[in-house]
Amino acid sequence: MDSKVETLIATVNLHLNLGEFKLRGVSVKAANRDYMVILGPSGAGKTLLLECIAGLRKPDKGMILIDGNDVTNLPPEKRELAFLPQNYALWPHMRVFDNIAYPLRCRRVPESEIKRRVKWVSRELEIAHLLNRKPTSLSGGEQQRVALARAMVWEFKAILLDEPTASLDPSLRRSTWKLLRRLHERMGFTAIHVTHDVAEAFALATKSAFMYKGKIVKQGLLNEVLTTAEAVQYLGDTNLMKGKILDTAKGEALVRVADTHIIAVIDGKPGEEVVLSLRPEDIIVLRERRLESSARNILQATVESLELHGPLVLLHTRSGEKLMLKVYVTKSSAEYLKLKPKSKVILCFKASAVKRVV
Amino acid sequence: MVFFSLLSVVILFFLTYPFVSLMLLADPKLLGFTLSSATIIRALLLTLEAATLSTLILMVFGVPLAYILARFEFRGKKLVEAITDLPLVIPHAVVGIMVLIAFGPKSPFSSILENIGVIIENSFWAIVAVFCFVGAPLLIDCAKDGFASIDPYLEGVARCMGAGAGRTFYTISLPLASKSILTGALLAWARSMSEVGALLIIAYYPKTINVLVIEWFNIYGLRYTVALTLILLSISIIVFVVLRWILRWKH
Repeated sequence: MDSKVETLIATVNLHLNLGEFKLRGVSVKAANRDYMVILGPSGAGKTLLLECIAGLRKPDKGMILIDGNDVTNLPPEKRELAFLPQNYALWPHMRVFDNIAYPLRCRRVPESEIKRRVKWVSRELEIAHLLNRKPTSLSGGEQQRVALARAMVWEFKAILLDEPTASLDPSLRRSTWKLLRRLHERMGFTAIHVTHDVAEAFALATKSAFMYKGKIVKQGLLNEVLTTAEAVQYLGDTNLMKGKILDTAKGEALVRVADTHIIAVIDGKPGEEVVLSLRPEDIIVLRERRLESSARNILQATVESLELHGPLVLLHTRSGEKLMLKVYVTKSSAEYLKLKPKSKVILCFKASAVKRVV
Repeated sequence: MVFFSLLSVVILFFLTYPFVSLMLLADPKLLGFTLSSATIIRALLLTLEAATLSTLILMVFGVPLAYILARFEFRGKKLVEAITDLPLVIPHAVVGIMVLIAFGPKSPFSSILENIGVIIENSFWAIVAVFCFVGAPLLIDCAKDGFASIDPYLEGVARCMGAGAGRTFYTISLPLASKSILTGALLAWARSMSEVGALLIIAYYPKTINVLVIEWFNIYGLRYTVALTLILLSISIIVFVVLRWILRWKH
């Protein structure tokens, strides 16, 4: 790890019991400029964790650190963390301008500077025409951008986002992801974002954690996080891959995924970021490369582990350095192919078996 | 449906006819006399002053309590809520006796109160004390409901954005609950305007308008009292209309 990157926000062994919702020893870290996505099913305690970090709830046990300082007992206003709840929590009695200006007024920023900053952030988020409106007259997407503007108008140490796209329709969600990614690249803020949606995690995360029943099961890069048993159980066994379209021709797209290339029958333009899915039963496993095959994708891979699922065996394979693929074979073919951990295999699948998710 | 409608007509008649009969009995000459009587004007102004002052006092002390009850859980909360609601069910004459014993000239507090010029018997302050006692539940309950209906995230996000507890209260909670507080204040004010039972015991003098209604009824009879009653009724109706308007504005 780069020694210059110090941990910005960390929780240490956080416990909180609210009956239905619980935190059971949550330790999670987000470094400066990370876009950390905490993924997990509803009821996992994701919102509770954000509320503890924000200072809206006091944990029963454990510590919250910001820049190495213990802030567990500090009130929210002393933590410098912007919180964006699922319902955006815009103040209905204030105009959009005053909603966005609020963090600045709390800090006694001069009125001329407030005007300048609100103007700047509202231009960034394309809401400059809404400044005189009341939040209740805005659409869901507009409200969300106002809430984002309020969180970005001041240099908070981090932005905490709780399922910010949950109430938006699918096309609006995708444009929100794009917007968040662009803002993150331009402004370089640190974000902790919780969601139950794996596509959202793929679209945004530079770092990720999987949360399940009040615990962080694993944290790190998203691909690694998704290989845990709990994540597989929650997300199903479908392979999900993030990639970038390099070229398109005749209805096919060449997509760079991790350190390899995949051909897929999908819509899209070169340069677009995509998330692809591939069912594990659509992949054929060979021990040696055969010359004749209608499958357009042929990858070399290593078996990492085998799991027995009734008459089937689920193989966890790794292709190249980073691409993890789950594959189903029958028990008899696993025996015939003499598959065991570290076996070298060839994976084949059709371009039409690859679907675009995002 | 027809049967229900018939029953409804009976109750509606019972509720509206008294207004009509009161108007019919009104004598314009006596109404003019009443409106120009110095005694009446004095009693009316006194009642308005005391009701308004007691409502303001209730807002200063009641709104913070309402906020605590709406936002925090603590031991004995149910008891505190019961205490604030109790005045609603106590008979008015009993309120008069209680306030007299508790804060009157023979009470342990009398010397402290007298030092600041407050005597709770047959005085303006006695009237204010009674009004505060009977109006408190209305104001506190309304304000409490107002605070409780605010999404806690609206306050929580203000804290995260950098506002302390005090700033959050003044810039978020109070404005958002203002309509409920106003409704409660108006209800408490109207309740004060209608109080008479407790005043007959603790503050017959200086005479409030309702005490005067009873006195005139006993001395001059119905005709004179009708004129006086009409004035009180108009005030009540104005308050009622304003209240309905606030409630509609709220939605």
